[in-house]
Amino acid sequence: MILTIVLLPLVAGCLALLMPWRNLRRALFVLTAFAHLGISIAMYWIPQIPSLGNWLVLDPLGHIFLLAISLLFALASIYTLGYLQHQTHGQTSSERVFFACLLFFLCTMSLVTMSHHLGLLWIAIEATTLASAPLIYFHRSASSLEATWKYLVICSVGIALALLGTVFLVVSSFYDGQTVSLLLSEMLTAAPRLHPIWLEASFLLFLVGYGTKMGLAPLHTWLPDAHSEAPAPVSALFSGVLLNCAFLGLLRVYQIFIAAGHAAFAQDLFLFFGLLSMLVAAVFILFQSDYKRMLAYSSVEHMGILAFAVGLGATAAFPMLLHVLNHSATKALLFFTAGNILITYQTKNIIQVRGILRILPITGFFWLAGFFAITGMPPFGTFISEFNILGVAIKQSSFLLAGLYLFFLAVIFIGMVRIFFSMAYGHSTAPDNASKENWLRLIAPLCLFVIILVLGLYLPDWFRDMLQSGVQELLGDH
Amino acid sequence: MEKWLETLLVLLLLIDIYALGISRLAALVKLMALQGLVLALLPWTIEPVHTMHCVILSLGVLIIKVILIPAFVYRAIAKVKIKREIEPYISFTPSLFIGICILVLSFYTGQHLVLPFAVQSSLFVPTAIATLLSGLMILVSRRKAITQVLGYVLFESGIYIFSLTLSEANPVLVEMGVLLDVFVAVFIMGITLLRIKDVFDDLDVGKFVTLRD
Repeated sequence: MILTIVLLPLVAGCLALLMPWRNLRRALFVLTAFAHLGISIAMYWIPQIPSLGNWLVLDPLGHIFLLAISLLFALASIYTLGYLQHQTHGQTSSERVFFACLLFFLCTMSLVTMSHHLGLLWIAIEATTLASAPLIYFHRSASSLEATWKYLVICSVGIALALLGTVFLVVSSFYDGQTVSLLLSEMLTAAPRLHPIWLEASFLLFLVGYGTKMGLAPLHTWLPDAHSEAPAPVSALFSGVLLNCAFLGLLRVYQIFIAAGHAAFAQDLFLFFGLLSMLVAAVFILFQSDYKRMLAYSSVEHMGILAFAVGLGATAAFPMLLHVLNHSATKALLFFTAGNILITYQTKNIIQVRGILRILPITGFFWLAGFFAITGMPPFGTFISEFNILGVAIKQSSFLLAGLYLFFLAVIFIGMVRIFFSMAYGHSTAPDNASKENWLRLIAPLCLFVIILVLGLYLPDWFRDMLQSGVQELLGDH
Repeated sequence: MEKWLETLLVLLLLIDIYALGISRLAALVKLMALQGLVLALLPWTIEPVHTMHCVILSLGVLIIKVILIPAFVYRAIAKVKIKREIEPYISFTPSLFIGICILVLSFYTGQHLVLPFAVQSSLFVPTAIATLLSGLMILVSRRKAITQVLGYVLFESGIYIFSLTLSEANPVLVEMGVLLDVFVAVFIMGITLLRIKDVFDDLDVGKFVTLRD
């Protein structure tokens, strides 16, 4: 089953590339997405045997990320159908390539969640960049081309540094005449006798490498461009799950640091880059004129929150994993609604969008709900996770950290309140022949809205158990 | 064996410096192919020689770095009809000077960066660092998108050289995966390049100014 979940989208992607019939291709795309979702849910009950000699293992931590990927992808597949209805032919790149790349993207992301070999993990993360780069260029504009180029070059070079980090990690494992293989399980066993200096050097490279892909400041420069230029379903996947994949890469390395008893070194760096990302995001959100870029900077902020939570140590691990899921769902909701707004208003400029609630009442409602969720207001899931992370910081008496965290959150709230409300209320500025609500483009936001609302009101026991076993996997106490 | 190894490493160092001073793109591509050839030979000079490992690795490097990537970039150059890198951010003479500084820095770091195991040649680590840094230097100082692609290839070669210091630990499968990723990266960058040429009528990344805050 482990192999199936990687191979299924790969095979479907190849088929989509070859298939000449448009409707059949679309059906194949949606079916694959839902089959993938079905399998990854089923894997929760069926114990998985590691595949390829322990290279592919589905552990509880990876499974949490995999479920988020499958779910968002399935929702995005429905949304994509609605989105494509409004694209004029000739202004977009070929649908064949688009669907094939989306499916390859799904394949590579699933591979990331299950790679238990750090070399394979690197290959998979780099492959996500390559599979997703053509997706940004869907609208065939000069600016989307610019974004594609920046994404390709910055991420490839960044991730190459993580490869160097992987090599350094092998060097650090040299002991008694031989090195350990890059299998996570072997690395974890060998962790206590890893060479500390090489280990620290490798962590710096990993942090810069995967941090670039994850969007940690100051390495986030590709992120706003790519997120704002990509078509809405792609932006939602980028922000909702692609960034998580790179984050999972960092968590894998962090697992080794915990096992090595060297976690403090990594935590300090996580704290620093986490807060720096929040600061940068706050500044750019305050002076933002493009709403998709605003959402992109908000992703930088939330990646910062995640890094900050990792930096706080073991006690913040549970809210951290919860926040991963909350952010994925909330940000995807916002990017989907932003796509609806863009289709109706034909502009990404904040000032030119007024009165969403009048012309698109349902979209407008999700837009405002998404705002409250993303800024961490009750009754949404993000409130629980952000509040608990704050609680951990205060319990550790790190008041400076807690204060900075709270301050950045407040500044971002102020920046966003202005943007979201001015867009939602007032007289409509939409063109007269603007397209109205389309139910295909409302299913995904609706499902996500329900999810973030439920996560905010009550955590089911099985869900809590799932997160708890993810935490145990991360911290290494079984 | 050690003699051969050091000869190859010195050759790689010379290629790094030379790459910084070239303005003709076709010449730079040929230089990258030459570097690929040296990289393909390199595993054979490292003791102990594992024949199977060496054969697969050399073949992989040969196919991807000597044939596919240069051929592909060469075709792209022919298509976009851009012959040379004109007015880079840092021009060629200062680039060469920086190259010398990179060399000095690499040897200095190489001496202080003591690997926990014995390496066959003291030139090994400095060569890897110098290749990495020259690649980065080309990436940041050149204007034409195509030169940046070559900078990326050079940069990745540096990591490859570094990984050779641990000959046994790296499974062939991973090496092949990495090579494949690099090739696909160059391939997609190449396609993007052709589009950039169509849309911007140039390959100057200095013209990328629409997206900023």
